[in-house]
Amino acid sequence: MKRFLRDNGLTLFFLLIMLLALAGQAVSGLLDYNDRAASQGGHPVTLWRYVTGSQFAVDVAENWQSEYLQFFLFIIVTVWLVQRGSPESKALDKQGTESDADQLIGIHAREDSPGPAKKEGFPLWLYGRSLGLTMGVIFLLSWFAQSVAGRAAFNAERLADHRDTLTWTGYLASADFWNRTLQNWQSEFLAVASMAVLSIYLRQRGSPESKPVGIPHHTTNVEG
Amino acid sequence: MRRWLVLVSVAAALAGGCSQAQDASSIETTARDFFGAVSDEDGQRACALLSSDARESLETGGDSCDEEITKLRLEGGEAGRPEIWGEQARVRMGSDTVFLTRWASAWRITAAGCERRVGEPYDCEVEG
Repeated sequence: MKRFLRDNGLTLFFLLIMLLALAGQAVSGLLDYNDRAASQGGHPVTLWRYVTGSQFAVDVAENWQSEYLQFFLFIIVTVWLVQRGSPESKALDKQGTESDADQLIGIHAREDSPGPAKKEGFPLWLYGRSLGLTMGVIFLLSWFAQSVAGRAAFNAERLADHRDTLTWTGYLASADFWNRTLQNWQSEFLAVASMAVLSIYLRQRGSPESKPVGIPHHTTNVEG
Repeated sequence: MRRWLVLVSVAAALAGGCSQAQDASSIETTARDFFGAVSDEDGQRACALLSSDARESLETGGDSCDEEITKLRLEGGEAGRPEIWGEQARVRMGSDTVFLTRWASAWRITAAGCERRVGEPYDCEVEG
């Protein structure tokens, strides 16, 4: 058990604080929702009704889609684009999908390489892109969930204002959908750009996300 | 595991469908009772079905909701299919449109006698 916790500490830590943050979001979101309902002469809702409703769903989904988009883009774009001096970048002369020898695939696969790495054709192609594809699919599903839940929450607001409701395609063209989407995207893109640049010059001793403290600024693709 | 997931999904879908059907029925009943009360000139019964904001909107200058509600042109008619989003709903009653909000386990009318205006909120005889 102790060994399991040590070996999986990174994943378990982030899953735990994610659940705590989600619980905090549910409670604070409920208080905010009921406060606004009271100001509009509405009746308060229970925690269960709130967390199974569209307002909570859209607030969660809009953040999830942007996080998965960030990682999807980071995974794909770093195949082709580099940043001199950044530990987040590959070596400057390695742009592209690299050779089979570099990637340890086909005849270059090791005995302990994953099964698909030893195969050819579609299984190898698919496995060789499975991380980016999975992140991309989760991004699209989360974004779709945002659009469905967002429409439901938006239509509830429209009915409270005694206005007509929107179809799903109408909501996709609405300012609300794009405001929710882009306000999340811009922060994710800024965070990635900041990490790529700041990690050239700044260090965090012992972190694999940083270069070792004594490595020069111009050295690329070295993690601590 | 797969069979368990299917059962849970079916149960959730049925529960959601039942809940939606119950809401639709409750909304239609509330709207019908409201127009019935107005038609019977029973202001007290009609006002009891309004949200507090809608009721207060009729109580201006010392007038009571019970008296004012029966003076309005609220005709109603055959109930259309309610549109429900979260805690809010809308239902057409003949040529009138009625807006409602969920109030605990019941529904209360937030606006009635509403006419559609393009690009703007509905124009309503009663509105909270």
